Amino acid sequence: MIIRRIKLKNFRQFKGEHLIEFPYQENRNVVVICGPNTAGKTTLIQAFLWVLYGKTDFKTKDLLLNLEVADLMMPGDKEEVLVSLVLVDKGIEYTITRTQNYICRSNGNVVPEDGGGRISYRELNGNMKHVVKQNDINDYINRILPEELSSYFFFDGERISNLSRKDKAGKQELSSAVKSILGLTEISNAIEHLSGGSKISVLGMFRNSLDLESENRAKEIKKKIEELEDERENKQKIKADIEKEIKKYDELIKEIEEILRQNEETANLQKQIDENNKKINLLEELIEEKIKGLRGRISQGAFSYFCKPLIEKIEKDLKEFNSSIDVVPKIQAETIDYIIKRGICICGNEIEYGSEVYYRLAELKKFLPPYYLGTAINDFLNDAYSFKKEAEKFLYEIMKMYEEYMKKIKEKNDSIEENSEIMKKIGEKKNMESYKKDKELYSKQKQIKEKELIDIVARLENINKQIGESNKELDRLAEKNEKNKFIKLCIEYAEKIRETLEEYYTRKENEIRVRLNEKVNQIFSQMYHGEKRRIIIDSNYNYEIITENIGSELSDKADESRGLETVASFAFISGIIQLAKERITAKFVNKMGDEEEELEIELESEPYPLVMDAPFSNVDEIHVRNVSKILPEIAEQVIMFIMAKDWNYAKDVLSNKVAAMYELKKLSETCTVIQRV
Amino acid sequence: MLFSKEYSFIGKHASYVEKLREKLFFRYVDIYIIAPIVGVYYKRKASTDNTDDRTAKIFAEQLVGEMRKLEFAYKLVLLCDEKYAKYENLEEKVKRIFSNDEEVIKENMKIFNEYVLGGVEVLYEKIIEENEEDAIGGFIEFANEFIGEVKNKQALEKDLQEIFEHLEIENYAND
Repeated sequence: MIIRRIKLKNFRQFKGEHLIEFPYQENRNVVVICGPNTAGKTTLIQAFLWVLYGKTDFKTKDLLLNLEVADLMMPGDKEEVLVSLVLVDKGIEYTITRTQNYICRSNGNVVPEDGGGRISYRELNGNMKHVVKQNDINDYINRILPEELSSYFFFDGERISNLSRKDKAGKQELSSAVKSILGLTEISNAIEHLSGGSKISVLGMFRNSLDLESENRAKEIKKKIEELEDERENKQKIKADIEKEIKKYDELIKEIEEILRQNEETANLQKQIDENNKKINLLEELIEEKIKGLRGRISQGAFSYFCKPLIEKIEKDLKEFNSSIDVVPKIQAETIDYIIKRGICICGNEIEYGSEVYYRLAELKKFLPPYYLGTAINDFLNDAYSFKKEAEKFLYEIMKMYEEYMKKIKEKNDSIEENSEIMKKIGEKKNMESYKKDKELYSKQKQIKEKELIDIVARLENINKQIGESNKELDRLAEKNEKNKFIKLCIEYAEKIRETLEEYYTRKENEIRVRLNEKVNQIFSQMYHGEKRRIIIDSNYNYEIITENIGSELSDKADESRGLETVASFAFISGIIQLAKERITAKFVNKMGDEEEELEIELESEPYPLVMDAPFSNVDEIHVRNVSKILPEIAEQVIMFIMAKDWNYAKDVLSNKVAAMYELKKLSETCTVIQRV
Repeated sequence: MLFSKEYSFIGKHASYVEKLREKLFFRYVDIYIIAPIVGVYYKRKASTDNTDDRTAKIFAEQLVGEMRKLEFAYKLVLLCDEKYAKYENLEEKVKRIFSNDEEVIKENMKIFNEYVLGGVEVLYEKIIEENEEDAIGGFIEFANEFIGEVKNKQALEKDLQEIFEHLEIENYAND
């Protein structure tokens, strides 16, 4: 960091505006500001501190405003105190401004009013950036030159002794300040960034983002899935069993239905049997009729039938015998007797006894049976003829009737046979009722099983759904767990980096301290011409001057002049500055497994200016020269506020390094001007 | 008067006609009028069986109802009776058969009734004994047989007659 210029306006005794340029060249890096005591050298340092940190250390604290200006203020007047510092840090030119307004009260008191600060700089893209918030301003400034270190670089010669003491007034954060300068802060920042507070550090954030919840959940879900799968297997077995049972019931029911159906057939067959029986009955009736008919016909007609052949046997002879006789047919003697007795003929004529008719009739008697055979024979032959006639169709008729009768009997027998066949088919008549009951029972049980099946199927569906959902969730969690894995990996990496950095840091720090020790002692020995003394720097970067011949315990008691202390302080600071000036390239060998990797970390440090107020006030002549010789080489830029007398000592050594010289002319107690020489 | 009194079958003939009536004929009288025809044809006479007291009675009214057939049967049976065949004089034979004389009638009736019983036996044998269950069928068979026999017989007789005429013999033996 290089200081370019500082502008003061009404700051303390610097009434009005004053501008101090700090030109900078490689071989001329010293700016001297000369002036007597109370001219304002210390004030100038204070100006730096004020513009940077808002701090002052004046005895009359409140009023920064130039008193003359304040005196001239009328009630209501406002005046401004302004300090503006332009510096270059890491290639960027910053303009740091601080103002403090003062107002004159009605009572004539001048009091501070509002104030403010601003940092302006030009960004890389060319835009001007203005930082106005005080916190932000503080951040910027502390990055450029941390406040803890301000005492080193804004060197107050009168307070030099503070540096070497290990007391509370000393620098407790000295170590961090040193580290900051030497670039270790970046690393410790990195470490802090990695592993600091749990909420904002990398590791903390990683850890926070670990979703352990999801890991636990994943375990739960896996367990659940296992359980579900077990249940599923189980239920599937049960399902198979149920299906088997249902099948069994189906078969049983089918069997029974078959039997019942056969029974239906039986019913049908039974029907057939009944119909046949009806038929049989009808036929039987018919047969009865036919029998009756036949018997009747036979009873009635058999006579003439049997007569016929006998008639044929004898009729010829009889006919012959009777052929010649002419008889009155069918009249018997009795008939004549009856007619004669009656006295009236059948034709109606009277028959008188003794008349011709009477005698004729009596005559006829002779020819009548029983008197005359022929008549009888004639009668007989006539009967014979009629019987023969009757007999002609007899056999044919009864045979016909018989045929039909036989037909009917056959029909009847066929039906009977059919029935007996059917009866055979029907077989044993079992009790259908018990079958029906069984069928009902099986049907009910089948229904129950079917319902169970439905339930199980539903449950299986449910289980499958749950398994599916759980697996989906598992996948989602797996993503998270992947994330977790990744995060864990990142954590590992971060830890490793942290480890590496810490190790490096420790080593480096040690190295630096060693180097610092070396450097400081080197410079010290160049500056100090007294007895062999050494500076020892401890881990907190507090340093001690030890006399080599005397043990360290006694060194405290050794008489150390302020000059020695001052020189020691110079050496210390110079050591720091010099180290800071160097670029430290670290070769860090990281042993990873078998391979050695070299980790290069470049710790960049900025060169720092040294702004010194009365640096030589406690230093004797020789030391002044020595110190003067070294300082410009150590610091990038040296700005000295010095008394004329001290300048005389240093002039020889420094004059060829002076880039500009200013003189503080004290015009009054309340007014000083700065003039370039 | 012929057939004016009731008639009873006795003994075995009673049981025969019972059977015949059971299985085939309607009335005893129906059997009574056929039996003698069958009996004379088969030249079968039988006497009353007095061994037991079974009877089968035919009432007089029934006989009267079938008078025409009965009288005819009586004459026909006698005409065919072999005993009468021995009569040289046909006139005498006929006179005797057609006579009203009570004694003659009594003797004739004796012959007639023998033929009745014989016929009953034939009927029984041929019908009942052959096939009791189907008496009607048995009867028809019997009836057919009858014709066949008759036919054969008549054919035979015809042939015989021709032979005898050739040989100028008037009377011929039946068997």
